[in-house]
Amino acid sequence: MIPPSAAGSLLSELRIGARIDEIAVATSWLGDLADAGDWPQSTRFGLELSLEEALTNVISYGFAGLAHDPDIRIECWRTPQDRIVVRIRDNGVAFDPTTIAAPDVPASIEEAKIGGHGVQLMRNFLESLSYERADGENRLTLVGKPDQD
Amino acid sequence: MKIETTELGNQVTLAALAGRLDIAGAGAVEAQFAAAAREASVVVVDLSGVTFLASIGIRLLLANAKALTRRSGHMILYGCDPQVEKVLRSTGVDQLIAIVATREEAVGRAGTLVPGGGPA
Repeated sequence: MIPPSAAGSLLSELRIGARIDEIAVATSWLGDLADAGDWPQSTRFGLELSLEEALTNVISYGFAGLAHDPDIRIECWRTPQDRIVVRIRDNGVAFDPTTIAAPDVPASIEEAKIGGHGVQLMRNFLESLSYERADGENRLTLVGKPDQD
Repeated sequence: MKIETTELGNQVTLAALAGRLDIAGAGAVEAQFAAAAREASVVVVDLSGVTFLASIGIRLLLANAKALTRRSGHMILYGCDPQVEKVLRSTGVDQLIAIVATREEAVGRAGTLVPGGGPA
């Protein structure tokens, strides 16, 4: 986890509701930042994809059975090393996606599991993915790839 | 997200997807896509209009390819944007569903998979 003080400059922050239709609000917010900052295509695609996958997990599973109000906050930073970093904080149940193993590649379509690819995609399309649980929050940090692969 | 399906004849259906295949997009096209996969022997999927593919889109493709396979049918994808193709390859979908570059190749491949040589 990059501490906020060392994370460089905060480009923008967004708070969304715990509803599936809010995911598009978040990815389009990120898309606007990518346009404004002229990010490399691989940075933009990887971060948009990872934000989509992370929020899908948080919103689908993070708040089931909880009594308190959901709070989901997203920040976008540019680091001194010129990396784009997206941090997602939520007060849902503790869930560390970095512990999820990649699904096995099946021998045939009959044996293929149709789900479980979200975390695998985040790993493949980011420079790094890190998680921390603190103050009753999940904090997921997505660091974008600087350029093509 | 849009889907347009065209019957090419001899049990081959073209399904052209366009837009973002994210959680909202997949929801918008899943019923029509599944209907095409229920009725055809080969579904040729035009991904040239798809600019974004998330895991929910992979789920949509795999679920319908699986349904086709259960009926001895096939799915063929073509026209992938480079990032979309990277999503398919990094999750191993390319090992399970045929991916070709062009519509001609896809329709040609379909012709080898159905009795009578494919689309008229």
